[in-house]
Amino acid sequence: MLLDKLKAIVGDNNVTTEEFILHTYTNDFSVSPSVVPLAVVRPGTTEEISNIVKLANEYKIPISPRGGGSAQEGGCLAVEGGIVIETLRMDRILNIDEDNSIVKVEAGITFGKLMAALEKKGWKIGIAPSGALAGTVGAHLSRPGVGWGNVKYVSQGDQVLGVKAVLPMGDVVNTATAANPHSEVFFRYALGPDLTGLFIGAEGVYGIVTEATLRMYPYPEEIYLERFSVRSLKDAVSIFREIAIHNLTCFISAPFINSNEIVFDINIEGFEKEVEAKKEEVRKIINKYPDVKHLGSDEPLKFWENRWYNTGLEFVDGIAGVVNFFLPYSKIELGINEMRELIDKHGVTKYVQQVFPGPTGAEVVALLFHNPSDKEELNKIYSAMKEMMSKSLILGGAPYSKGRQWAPFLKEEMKETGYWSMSKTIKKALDPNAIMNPGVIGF
Amino acid sequence: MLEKYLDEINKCTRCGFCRVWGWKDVDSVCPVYKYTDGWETQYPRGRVKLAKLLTEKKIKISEKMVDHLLMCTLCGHCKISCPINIPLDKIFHAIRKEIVENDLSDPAHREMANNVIKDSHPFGNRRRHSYAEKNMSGKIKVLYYPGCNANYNAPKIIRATKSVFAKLQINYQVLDEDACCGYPLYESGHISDMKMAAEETLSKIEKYEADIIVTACPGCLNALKHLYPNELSLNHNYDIKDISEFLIPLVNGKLSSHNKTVTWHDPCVLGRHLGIYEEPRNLLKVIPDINFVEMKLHHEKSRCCGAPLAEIPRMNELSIQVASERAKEVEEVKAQEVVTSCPACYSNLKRAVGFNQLDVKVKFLTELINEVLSDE
Repeated sequence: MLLDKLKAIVGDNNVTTEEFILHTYTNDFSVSPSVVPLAVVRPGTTEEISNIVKLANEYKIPISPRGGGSAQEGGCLAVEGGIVIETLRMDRILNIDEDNSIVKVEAGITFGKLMAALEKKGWKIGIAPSGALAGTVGAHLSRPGVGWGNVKYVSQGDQVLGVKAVLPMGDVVNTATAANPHSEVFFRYALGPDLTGLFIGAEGVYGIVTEATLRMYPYPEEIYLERFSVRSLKDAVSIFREIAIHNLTCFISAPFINSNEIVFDINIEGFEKEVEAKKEEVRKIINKYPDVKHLGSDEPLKFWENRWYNTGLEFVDGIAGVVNFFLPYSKIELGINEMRELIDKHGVTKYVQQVFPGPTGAEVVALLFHNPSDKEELNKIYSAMKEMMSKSLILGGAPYSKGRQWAPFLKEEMKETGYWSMSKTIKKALDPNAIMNPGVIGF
Repeated sequence: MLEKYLDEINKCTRCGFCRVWGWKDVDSVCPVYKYTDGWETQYPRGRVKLAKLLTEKKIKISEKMVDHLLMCTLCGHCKISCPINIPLDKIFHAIRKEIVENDLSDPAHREMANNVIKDSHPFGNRRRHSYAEKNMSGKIKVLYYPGCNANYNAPKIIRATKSVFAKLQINYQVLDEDACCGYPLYESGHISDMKMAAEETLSKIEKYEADIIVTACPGCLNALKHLYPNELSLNHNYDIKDISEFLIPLVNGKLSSHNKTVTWHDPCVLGRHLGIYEEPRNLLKVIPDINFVEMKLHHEKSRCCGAPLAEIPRMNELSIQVASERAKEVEEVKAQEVVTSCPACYSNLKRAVGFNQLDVKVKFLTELINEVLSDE
C-alpha cells in the first residue's frame, strides 16, 4: 500500500523495497551501526518530496534524508521502520546569476559538478568539503560543513543566502528574500527572522532542503600555495591564529599533527598583487618562529591540482572512526593533547590528528583507523571515540557535524539548556509526529 | 572466491568517488551509472557493499541483484579512480564467479558459454568466413589469432590484417578455425567452461608450430598471455604479441601520407587492464601527415565503449548509450577518424556513430595501416 503510493509519487523506478538495494543504504563514511530501511525513495522535485513527507506523516513513518551518503557522523542513516529519501536526482543548477554573483542549485548537486560548471564561467564558490566529488550541497549545508576555503569564507552556512525546504509536515517554505512571493533569493537577512539558519546545521530535523542559493565569487587571478613545517604545536597554533585573524589566506591545512612535527599548507588567492602582498605578510609572521622550515610550493601545488582526487588518500590505512569538532584558538593545543591522551589510553595504534584553522578557531580532527574485520580494534575505537566526544564537549568544543554519532553526548551535556529546550519546542511545532530524521543531533 | 578479497572490500571508506565526479576531465567515473536508475547497487560503492554482505553470508544472490551487478562493463575506470586503490575490477569479477556458482548466470551469458563448449565460438548457429589461403605446410613464423568477434562480427578486420601481413611479407598463417580463447567466459564468470575452451584452443594452436602468436583482440591477448597461465594454470611457451607491438618495428618508412585528424580509442582491456597505451599511438603517429589528437578522456582515464553490455539483449540500449557518449567525444575533438584495436569496441563504436549520425569514421588499427602501407 505504502509502496504503491510512493510509486505513484515518484514513479516505479524511483522507489525500492528490494532487500539487496536497501542493504546498500545503511552506511555513510562513518562507523555508526547500520539499520536497513523499509524503502528508499529517489524523488526528482520539491513537490515529490513534499508528497512523500505528507505520506510519511499519514503512516507515521520516519524519514532519513540523504545526499551523497559520504559524511562521517551517520547523519543520513536510516532508522528502524523508516524510509530514506535520497536527493541525488535533484542535481540541476537552476540559475547562475552573474549580475548578482549568486548561484541557485538543487540540493542533490555534487560540489564537483557545481564547481566545474562555475569555473567554466570564471566563477567559484567559497567553501567545498574535502569529499566534494561525491558530497552534495544540501547535505553539506545541513551539517553545516566547512572545508577548503574556511579561513576566508568561514562555513558553508555563511555562503547560503536562502533555501527552499520541505517542512516535516510536507509544507514548502522559501527563506530569505524569496519569502516575498515577488522575489528570488538575493539577500539572507531580510523580512524577519533568519529562517534560513533554521536549516543550517540542523541535519534535516526541521525539514529537507531541496534548493539552495549560494554566494559565488570571481575565480581568483592567482592561487598560491606554500608548505611549512614546525616542531612546536604551540607555535603552529600561534601561526595559524595570526594568519587567520589577519585574513591572509583562503585556507590553512595541517593534515598531520605528529608529536614532533606539524606540516601545514597555506593557500592564498586573489589578484596577483594582493597575493604577493599577502604572501609577504604570511612570511613575516612565519619568520618570527625560528623553528619553521619552508618546504616550498611544488608539493602543495601538486596536491592542489589534484585536491579532490587526493582526498581520502590517508584512508589507505583503514576505515576511520572520526572525531571532528571545533575549538577556539585558545583551546586548540589543549584539545589536541587531550584527544591524543585518550587515543593512547584506549590503545588505538593507527591514527592521524589534523587541524584545519578557521577565522575564530579551528577544526580539530582525529581519524582512528582500523580494519573492519578486526572487531577488537573496532571496539577500542568505539570506546575511545565515546570518551573523546564527551571530553571535547566538556572542553567547550562543538562537533563539525552531529549525526547519530554525537547525538547522545550532545543530549547529555545540553539537555538542561535553554538552547535545547527551544530547539525541541521548534521541533515539536514543526514535526508533531517526530518523523523527520529522528535521533539526529539528539532530538 | 570473494572471501580472498575481504580485506580489500573492507577498505572501502564509502567516499563515493566512484559514482560521478563532475570535475575537470572526468565527468563520470562509472560509464554506465548515469544511464541506470541510479541506485547504490548500480555503481561500484554499492557493489562493494554487496560483495561484503555476500562474503559475510548476510544476503543471497538473487536474479535482480545479478541484473544490477551486470550493469558493469568491468572497464576498470573505478579502480584507477579509487583513492585507496581497492582492486575493484577483481572484486567485481569475483562476484561474477559467485553468480555462476549460484547458477544465476544471465541466460545470454550461459548461452554464450554453452556455444563455446559446443561450437568453439560464442555466437551460436552462424557461419564463419574462411580466410586460409595457404596450405599448412612448413613451419610458420607468425600465427595470426583473429578471435571470434572479428571472425563473426567484423571480418573486415581480418581481411585488413591479412593484407598488412602480406604487404610486409610476413610468414604467417591465420588460425582459420573456430578456437575461442574463452575471454567472454572469463568476463561472465564461467571459469571452468573457459578452461575447457582454453585447453581445446591451445591444442589447436599447437598444430601451427608458430614462433609468435599475434592477436588483434585485447581479450584474446589477455586470455592467451595472462589468464591461461595465471588463472587457469595452463602454461605454454608461446610468445604472444598485440598487433600494435608486432607492427611497430616493421612499418616505419613504409607508410604513405594520411592527411586526416585521427584519434585513438583505448580499449579497456588493452589499456587499463594490460597497460598497452603507447604502442598503438606510436604506430599512428609514424603515419606521415596524420594529425593525431587525443580525446578528452584518454589513456587510463579513457571512457569505456560499453560493448560488453551488448552481450545481454536487454542491456543493448544501455550499451548504445555508453558508446554514444564515447563517439561524441570523437566529434568533440573534431577527429575525422577514430581508430581502435578491439573488435568489440570497433563494432560498438560503429553502431554508436551510425545511431547518432556522426560525421566520424571508425577504423580498426590494421584497417588504417593497410590503407597507408605500400605494397613494396
